Amino acid sequence: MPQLKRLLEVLAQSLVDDPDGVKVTATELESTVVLELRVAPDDIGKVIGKQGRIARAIRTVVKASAVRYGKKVIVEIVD
Amino acid sequence: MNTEKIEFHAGTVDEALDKASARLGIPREQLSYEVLDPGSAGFLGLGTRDARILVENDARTPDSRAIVEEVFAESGGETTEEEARPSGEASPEILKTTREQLTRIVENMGLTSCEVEVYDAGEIIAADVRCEESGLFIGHKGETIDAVQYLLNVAVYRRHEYEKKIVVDCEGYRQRRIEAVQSIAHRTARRSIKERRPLKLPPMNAAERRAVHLYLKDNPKVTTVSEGRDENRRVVVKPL
Repeated sequence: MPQLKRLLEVLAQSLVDDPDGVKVTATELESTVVLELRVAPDDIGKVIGKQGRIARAIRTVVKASAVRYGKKVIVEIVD
Repeated sequence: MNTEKIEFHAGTVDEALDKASARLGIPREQLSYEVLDPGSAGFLGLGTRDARILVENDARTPDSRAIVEEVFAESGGETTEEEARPSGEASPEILKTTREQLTRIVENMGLTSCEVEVYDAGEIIAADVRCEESGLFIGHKGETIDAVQYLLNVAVYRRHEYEKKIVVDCEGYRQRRIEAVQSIAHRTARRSIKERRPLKLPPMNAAERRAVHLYLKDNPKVTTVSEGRDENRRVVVKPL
């Protein structure tokens, strides 16, 4: 699902200091897409946010988009 | 030395100092700050106002920019109109960044034939999205549009100094939602007076809770307070 991967990259890049450090890998299992987000170590807080608020918002937006493609999506932030 | 000033909001100056200290990693006693607004507990639930302080951060912790998030988490809740205090026009750079960023988000969400319009609306920066799949963009109870709005504010104000809140709207959703919330508030107040007991409204976001407080502040028979945390924060209507 390149569109979902790209969306997650775009969202993450807008939030971090080091956009080049944003890496997303996608694994697709039937109708479920697992996206793993990696960012530069100093940027991890910027994609998680206080009490995970940013991470939650990212997941909400990516999930909404996944509905459009008839997919389920799991966003994992890897540190 | 690059000194940055960061605004913190909380119920009281004391709490705001705690928050600043925790966020900046500076002991409370060493904070140099200025009280912008001591806040007000209000009277009978009206005129409640957050305390606001401006703290100098010369350490410039790597995380300090994430402060915007903090400010958003607290603002727009039970504060009054003074809260935003936007001074003058939003700068063209901010409008441009907002437009570019929001366009990139909606395009990549795969929404068809979207148009994004961003302009200074006085109190706020309005970011209107027109698209065929507005339901998808708004989401259940507005959770998607609220998430987009939140991320957009964080992203834009990482790059620019804070000016005013960016409010994302789609096909008049915000106004419809406010009207729906007022209608719920009205019915709940009536029932609360009749049954002589406090009633809880469903959990709402800060803007919606604020709409409830403002709507019911003219009703002399009830008072309103918010309770609960995060997603579960809700207004309680109490008969007087």
